[in-house]
Amino acid sequence: MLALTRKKGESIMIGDNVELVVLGIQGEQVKLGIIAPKSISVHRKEIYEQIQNENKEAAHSGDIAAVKKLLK
Amino acid sequence: MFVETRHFGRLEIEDDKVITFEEGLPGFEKCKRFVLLKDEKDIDTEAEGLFWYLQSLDDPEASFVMMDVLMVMPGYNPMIEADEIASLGEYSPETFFVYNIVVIPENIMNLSVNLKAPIVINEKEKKGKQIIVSNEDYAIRYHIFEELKKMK
Repeated sequence: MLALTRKKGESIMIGDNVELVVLGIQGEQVKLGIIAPKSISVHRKEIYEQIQNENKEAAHSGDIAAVKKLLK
Repeated sequence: MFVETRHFGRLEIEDDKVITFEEGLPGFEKCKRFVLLKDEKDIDTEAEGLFWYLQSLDDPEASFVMMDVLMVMPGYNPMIEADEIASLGEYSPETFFVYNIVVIPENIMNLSVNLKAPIVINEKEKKGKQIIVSNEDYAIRYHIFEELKKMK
């Protein structure tokens, strides 16, 4: 991991087309701005991890036959 | 080609049925080739068109049950940026389909569907991607049991 220290208003370039801007700092919270092409998805890490975990659970999912019985 | 599937055993699938997920799926980044299967036994039943199976060719265990949520929740309206699905090819409502991954726990009353991260497939180009939508009110784990029961 590369660690850089930035002040409010300063930026980081990731590759050629992603920019991370420090918009503000308040106590423990940092407000970050992300400038990136719309083709690149940007999400809070927790959401991404939740989706990873949900996919892993889904891959080992249970009995679809029981679900279909519901519809009868 | 032959595919080992979790739900249907060994199947013979035409090569042109393979759907490419260039980025894999979150949690399954190495799984880039999938096939979309239906259960033949669903034909002419209430389940027809409702349940689909996304089977990884790269990992036989990576098999996902998916639901066509619009059949159960006609108001489902995931907000997807055009640019996010640009890599799947030119958009057309006739060739782009949305499915949602289902988690079936031991107690099926806790059946949940991931409304927050639908699977988008361009049937024409055979490309797919899981998209995290910006809708605030769609849950990763939406309990759809009640709606499903109401369907019959």
